[in-house]
Amino acid sequence: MIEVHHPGIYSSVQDLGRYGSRRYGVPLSGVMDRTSALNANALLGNEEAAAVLEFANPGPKLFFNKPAIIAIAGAAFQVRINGEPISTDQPVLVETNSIVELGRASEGVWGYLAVMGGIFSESVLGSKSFYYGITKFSRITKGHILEIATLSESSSQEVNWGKKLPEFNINPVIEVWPGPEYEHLSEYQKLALFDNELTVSPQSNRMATLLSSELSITTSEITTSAVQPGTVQLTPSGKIMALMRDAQTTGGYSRILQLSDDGFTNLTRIQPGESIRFRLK
Amino acid sequence: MGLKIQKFGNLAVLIDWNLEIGEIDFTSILSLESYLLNTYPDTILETVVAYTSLAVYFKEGVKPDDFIERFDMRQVSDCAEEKEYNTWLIPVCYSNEFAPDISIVAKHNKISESEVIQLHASREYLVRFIGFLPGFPYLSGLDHRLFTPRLSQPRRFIESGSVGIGGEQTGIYTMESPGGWNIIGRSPLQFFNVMHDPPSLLVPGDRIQFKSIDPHEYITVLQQVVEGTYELEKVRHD
Repeated sequence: MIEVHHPGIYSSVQDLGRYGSRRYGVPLSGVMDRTSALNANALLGNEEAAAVLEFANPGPKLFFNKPAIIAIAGAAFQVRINGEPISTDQPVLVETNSIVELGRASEGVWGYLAVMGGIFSESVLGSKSFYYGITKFSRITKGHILEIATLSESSSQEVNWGKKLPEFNINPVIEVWPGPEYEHLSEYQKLALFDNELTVSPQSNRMATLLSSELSITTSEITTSAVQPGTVQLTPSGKIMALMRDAQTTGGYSRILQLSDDGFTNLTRIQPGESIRFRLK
Repeated sequence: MGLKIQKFGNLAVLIDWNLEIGEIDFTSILSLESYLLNTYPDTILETVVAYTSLAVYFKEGVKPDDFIERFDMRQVSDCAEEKEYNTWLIPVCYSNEFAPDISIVAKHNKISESEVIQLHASREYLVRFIGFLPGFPYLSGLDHRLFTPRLSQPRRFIESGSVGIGGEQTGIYTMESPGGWNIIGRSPLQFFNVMHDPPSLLVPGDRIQFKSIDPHEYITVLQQVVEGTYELEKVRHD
């Protein structure tokens, strides 16, 4: 098992999300940066949907009471095992009674720690992803115990030793499609939307990335209708927000854009205070 | 403008009736939903009903453009099957300890607090859809004499089961949450339980009626809910 010595912030167990219950108001959840989480699992030969630990800046401090093979992907976190800095672009063996410490991320936002064989956590409505009111926990806290596979149990699995993770790219040009209310915008508003830089606000979280800008475009509310991760909303007061994995299933703001899958991944990697630009696909 | 179907990202379409909330024949959304789910089980992953729209989410690899091309508007009128829905009796304690804002609703509408309770509990409401929180029902049917603006300062914490009025809507906070509606009572029922199938007590198309209970009954029902012995009452139409 892994015992959490320090939780970091926004640390939670996530998989690829909870599908099939949106009709009942249950958000999808799942890893923010899917590409990075898939990469970490692939290095270990895990299933794509194996649960991983997701964390933000600064990361958690974890105690392993048994050996494990781990992979860390996503944002460029400093990682130390028992105080020694390690390189994180490949599988790493963690020995019994080791402390794995995720420090600060110099680039990017979300980091992923995958364990060979996966992290065991209760599956609720088809997913292990933490979400308030659905799973027992919504965040990991100090003292939290994460059960993991014992090495011998997962021996049939092939670890990609020597294989390196693809480079972690940061691209502030965010690809989008028109959203359901895109045509409600005037030509001037559309131009302004793509011509201006938007800054990621520190209030952003797993539910939404808030974007601030100089542009003063606004639009009316809509009759409450479906929204999904990647939906970009514009409020009557001119706020722009991109809904992320923990977004509600319905909303009442105009859905002006929809992030492409790559656009979504790229947006998850932009640190608060940095700027982006939308580009129509 | 009529019905419109459009792409909603690369793995969904949005079907919008383009009608006002009060104009739409609500059952047409649910009929189309069940028709599509039955006809395209290999294509459709899940759906989300809202006031005047239906979102259709596809399985990996499905192309929304292909679906739009095949989609025939006539299906919408052809699938008007009549389904049976339940009318559930939802016990609510409107006692002051559970109703911090009932005086605001009374004062705003120039009626007494007991009239607020009487008006709120005398109507049948329609569950239009579930959203905002897991299991949270968007209800239509609120008496206009109870319309009350949302609180200017939303609360950071509202207890699960709280019954509120926000503008022209009424609803139930199905789990602890922040919120800006005027709280006029609390139900001891559990509206969302991941162990149940479906996990939401209320589903789109259900009808509900609130029944005023006193604090003693509240405790009794709460105990039964916790023990798992509470049986939801159906309203009998006779």
